Amino acid sequence: MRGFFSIEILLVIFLLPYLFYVMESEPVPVLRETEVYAQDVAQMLMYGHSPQELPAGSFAIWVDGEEFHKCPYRFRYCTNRVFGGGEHRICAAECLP
Amino acid sequence: MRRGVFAITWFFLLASTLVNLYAIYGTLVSSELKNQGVLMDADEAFYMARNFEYDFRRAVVDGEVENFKERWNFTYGNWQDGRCVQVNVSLDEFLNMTILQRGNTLIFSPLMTGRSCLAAEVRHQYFKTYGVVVSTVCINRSSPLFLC
Repeated sequence: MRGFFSIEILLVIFLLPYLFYVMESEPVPVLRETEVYAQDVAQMLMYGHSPQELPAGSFAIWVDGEEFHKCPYRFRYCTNRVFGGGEHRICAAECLP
Repeated sequence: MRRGVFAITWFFLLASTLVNLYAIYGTLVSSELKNQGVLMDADEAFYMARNFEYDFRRAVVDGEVENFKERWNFTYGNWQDGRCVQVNVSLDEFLNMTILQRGNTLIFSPLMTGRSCLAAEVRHQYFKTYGVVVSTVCINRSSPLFLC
């Protein structure tokens, strides 16, 4: 009986915390939201708006490598648009909370 | 059954259930991310095709047809049975025949032989679509991206 009890104690001490650690997952990133935002920004720029006009929301934005609204992020989406006589690369990333 | 053995059995049952639930969760998450990636590829193809159409209007207004010609791989000619059939004239000649000026607007008008068109095949990952401009199209010179 004492043998079984000590095995159980060992399992509870080591295995259970490990299970909780494994199950403690990060929230799933909503990649599409970032992509839609990047496409919207690209459309806005194509229609003649400047990046400075964009609301300082919870997204970081890059236009041809120049960063607007800096913040830490985990996922970045980039798209290309032809406007103003040249091709431009527009990126967006959702800021971490 | 002795108390210790009973408890260990339940413990393993609970532990394996948790592990299985976590594995299912992981499968769902990876599947969801994959789906989002496919939707993003589709969006990219859609916007590239629309970009071709906008860029044509802008190029006509700004007189930058040469840049437009270099940037996109497209056909121009007659619109027949849902396809843009290439005509045997240069792009400049084709535009001279089809672009008419009416005050502050430019009209991409039909040819003698029927509706005129420009079409570009756009591919992105697994997706293929077309950017298509078919006459008659009214292009506002002061804001070519907006319809008039």
